[in-house]
Amino acid sequence: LNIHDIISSGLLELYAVGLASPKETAQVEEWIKLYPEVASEFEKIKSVSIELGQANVFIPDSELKERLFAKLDSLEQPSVVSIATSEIKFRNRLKWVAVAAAIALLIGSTIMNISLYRYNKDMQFAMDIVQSKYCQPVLLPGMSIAPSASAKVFWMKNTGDVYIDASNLPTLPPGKQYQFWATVNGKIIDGGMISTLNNSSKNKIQKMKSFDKAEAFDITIEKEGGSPTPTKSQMIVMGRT
Amino acid sequence: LEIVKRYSEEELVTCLQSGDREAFSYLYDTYAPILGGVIYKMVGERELTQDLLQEVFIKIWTRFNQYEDSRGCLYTWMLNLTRNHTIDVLRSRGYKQRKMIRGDENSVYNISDDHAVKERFDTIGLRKLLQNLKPQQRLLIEMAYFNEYSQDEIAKTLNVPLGTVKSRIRAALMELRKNKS
Repeated sequence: LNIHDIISSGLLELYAVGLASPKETAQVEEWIKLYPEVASEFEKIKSVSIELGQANVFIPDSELKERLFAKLDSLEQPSVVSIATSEIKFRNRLKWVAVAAAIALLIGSTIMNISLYRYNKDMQFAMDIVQSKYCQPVLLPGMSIAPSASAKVFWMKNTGDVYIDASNLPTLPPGKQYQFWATVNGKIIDGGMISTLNNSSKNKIQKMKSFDKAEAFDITIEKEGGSPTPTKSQMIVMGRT
Repeated sequence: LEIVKRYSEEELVTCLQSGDREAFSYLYDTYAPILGGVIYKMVGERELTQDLLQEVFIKIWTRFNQYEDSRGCLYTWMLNLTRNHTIDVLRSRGYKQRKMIRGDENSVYNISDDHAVKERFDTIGLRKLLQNLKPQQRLLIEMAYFNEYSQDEIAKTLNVPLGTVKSRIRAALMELRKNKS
């Protein structure tokens, strides 16, 4: 099949209007990747396809967008699937506190971390959080496994949004990752993974899962990708709200 | 409606991969009217269109990794997702029941429903864009772009071979390109 045959096959048009079968779709996508001429031809066809769409627009109610984003927020809330009860003990810096807790087992739900903003944007972003009148800072001091470690949580009391500054946590070996937890009504709830893929992301303020209320926040060292329940011997920092 | 190019497709994809809400907001502003137009053509009801549009955008957000795997054309991917989701709902039992109940309860509705169907094929912008096409090409574009027909179904409905569907869609789009320039 030469370039001319591909272009005159009609498949590019079919693909552009969304009518190609899965097999044809895969074929066209491969052609576009392989041949620049096909790619540029497809760009022209695509713009006609978009123009067709633009000739027939539907203007949704403006509230629809708000509803959509509210829905996305609710999807990103952690979902408790099953609860196993067992007694576990937590320790804070000054004393041992026995906390009877049920452990919430969480399935799935990966977290969207705020990532890859440019430096200025990062700065502005961080300042906006820290300076917000609703921001409640929570210091998480180092536990016995790393007394010099620390982390700071910025907890927005109006929205429940939780941001974390993890820059004072030690760098982890490959395969390990920090996981954030919140204690809510005596239950330990997954708060999301802290991104430490590279130094720069660790040094940024990261958004965790939101909590309307919590008695304490802590961070444990877990295997990469996280664990359903915290490994208590690996708790590195912890602080009460 | 002119698309303001604030992000290139590549930038948009990169931002969406990292879960950037701002980019998603831009994606919504840019494509919701177009994808909504496709849904509305298919279902003809404003409220249902809005519900479906919201579901489609949630799918775009939650299933973005599926797009990343193919790395094809973002617009085509969204168009397919929109059409497939709408077809699924149109063909679902719940929707059919809902339509039947309506038909039973209020026969007047049927008349206005037919009227709405007619109107659906009469958007001014679309009529203007398609005015220079042959009637046969126009029908094909309506079927291909704004209806729940697959290639096979179009071929069967028009009683032509599959290859002819391809070549006619190509001819129609070529014609539109010519008119554009």
